[in-house]
Amino acid sequence: MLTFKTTIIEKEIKQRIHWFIELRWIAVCMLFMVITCVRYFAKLELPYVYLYLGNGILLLSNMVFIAYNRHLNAEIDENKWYQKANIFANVQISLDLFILTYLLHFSGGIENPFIFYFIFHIIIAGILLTNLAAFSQATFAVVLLVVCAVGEYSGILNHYHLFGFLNQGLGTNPVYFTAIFVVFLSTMYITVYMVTSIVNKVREKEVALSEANEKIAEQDRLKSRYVATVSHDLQASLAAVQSCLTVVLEGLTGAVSEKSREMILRAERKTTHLINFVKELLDLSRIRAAKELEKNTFNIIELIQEIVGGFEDVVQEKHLKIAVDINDAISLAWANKDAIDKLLVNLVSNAIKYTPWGGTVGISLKNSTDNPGQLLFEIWDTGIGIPAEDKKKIFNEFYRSKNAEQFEKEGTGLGLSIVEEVIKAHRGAIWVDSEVGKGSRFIFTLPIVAALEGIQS
Amino acid sequence: MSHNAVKVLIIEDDPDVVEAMRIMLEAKGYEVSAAFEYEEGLKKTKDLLPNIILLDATLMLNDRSGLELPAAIRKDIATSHIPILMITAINEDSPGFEFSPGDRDERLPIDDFMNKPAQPAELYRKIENLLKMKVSKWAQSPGKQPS
Repeated sequence: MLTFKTTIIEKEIKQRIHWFIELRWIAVCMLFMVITCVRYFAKLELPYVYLYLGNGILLLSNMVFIAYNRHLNAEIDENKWYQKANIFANVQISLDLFILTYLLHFSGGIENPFIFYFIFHIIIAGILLTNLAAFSQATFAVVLLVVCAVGEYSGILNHYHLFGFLNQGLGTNPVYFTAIFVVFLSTMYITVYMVTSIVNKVREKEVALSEANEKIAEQDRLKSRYVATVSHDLQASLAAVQSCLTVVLEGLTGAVSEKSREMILRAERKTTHLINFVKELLDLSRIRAAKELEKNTFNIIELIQEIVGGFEDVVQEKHLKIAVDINDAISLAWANKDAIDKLLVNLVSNAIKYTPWGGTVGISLKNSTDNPGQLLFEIWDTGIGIPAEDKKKIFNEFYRSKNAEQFEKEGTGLGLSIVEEVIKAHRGAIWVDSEVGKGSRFIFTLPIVAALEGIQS
Repeated sequence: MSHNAVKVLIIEDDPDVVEAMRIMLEAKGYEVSAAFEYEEGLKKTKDLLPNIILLDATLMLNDRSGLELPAAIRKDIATSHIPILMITAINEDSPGFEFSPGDRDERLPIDDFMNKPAQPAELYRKIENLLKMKVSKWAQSPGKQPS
């Protein structure tokens, strides 16, 4: 498993490689302009063929880098990707250093003020590479410059003097040579040292932050597990109370006076409410306590039909029309079936609950055209609607909008929190369209289309 | 088969639930026995050979869970035919969610399940259905040993 630190560096490397390539295009253009300006305006006598050639090599290398970057992004194995990306970044920096030295050599060597540009590469290396690699790149830069300067000084390499810019041949002046060398060398190493120290500190903080976040998430899961355990124990006792009250109410223990019956009925109703409350609390905390929900393949259309069938009695009682519109091409989903069941049951039961006598409740399911691979669900009704100011709050735990409370006294305010958690756990999205008195429409997308690999595993 | 002859064994650790269910079932004329823990449940199953077993999924004693009992009952050729109706906690849509879907049936060979609290009408309906079936769908065929 990758550690937090590698994950952070990995993310950075991915962005920076892209950034390198973009920057190099700018460098190619700028370089072309500088060479051309120097040639036609400053009119310095330099071997322009070699300079343009260097410019061309930079351009070509960038094209090769783009191609390789595409190839690299196809790598699936994370460890291999990281290794290759690391080498790739090193190669790019080394090649850039080499081309810069090449260009300097043909334009005055160490006399050329563009010598400062080495520092950019060293800063990037310090940010992106390991400390050792950054120091090695700095050493490589120093070696390149020494080879160039010593070569020119000793006459092995030709020295192209910047006549018209500097009239004295500084490149062959031993004092200037030594001074430049010492300053250059120390600048390179001090830069690497400063950059790597700062970057290391920042990275340490980032790692600590990620770890702290993970710890908080774990604490939250522990809390949810605690609530789940408490709810589970509560529900067992509540179920026993309910059973005992039921046998009395059903008259199985003998005749009960009207007054006693009424009081037992009250107790039974409250128990039912409590059981529902605990049940929803348990649903919610179970989903939250799970780091990852177990997924399997199931027929989503069958599930919807089963759910709609389960509401048959109340639909008939309220004379509601049910409009089901499902694209037949959809069948298998890859998700946590129990969680999707809870999601749909909650939304359908809400639609039925808050739609007055004779209204319509609709369920539609199709493939999302905007997001391929996602299923688009809509559950709508001609019910009481949600006030605009409540639309954001209805997903909050225990929140019920005023008109919902007036319309239906019983309710826990947890149903939509469960809906939201299930959607979050499946990386989907939900939104609401509603107008008071006209109805509500809950639209949500879930990336749960069963792919072949899903079916196989 | 008249109702008087039907023997129901309730295996449930909460005496209050047992009492409530006993009243519901006796009102229907069933002959009700009860066991309060795993070993007792297994022993009474063998001794009484009930027509149907109502088993509490949350039964837990001495580290042996009610979820293990169906497999043990199926193992014995004398009891493997008895239909089992599992009574689960309030909101388990499918009992045995602890088991992976692949071997859930093998590890939890029950015939039907219902949620607590048991409502008389649903309980009667489920029991009637299983009694009509007479033999569990997980019964061993004679001479065949379970794998």
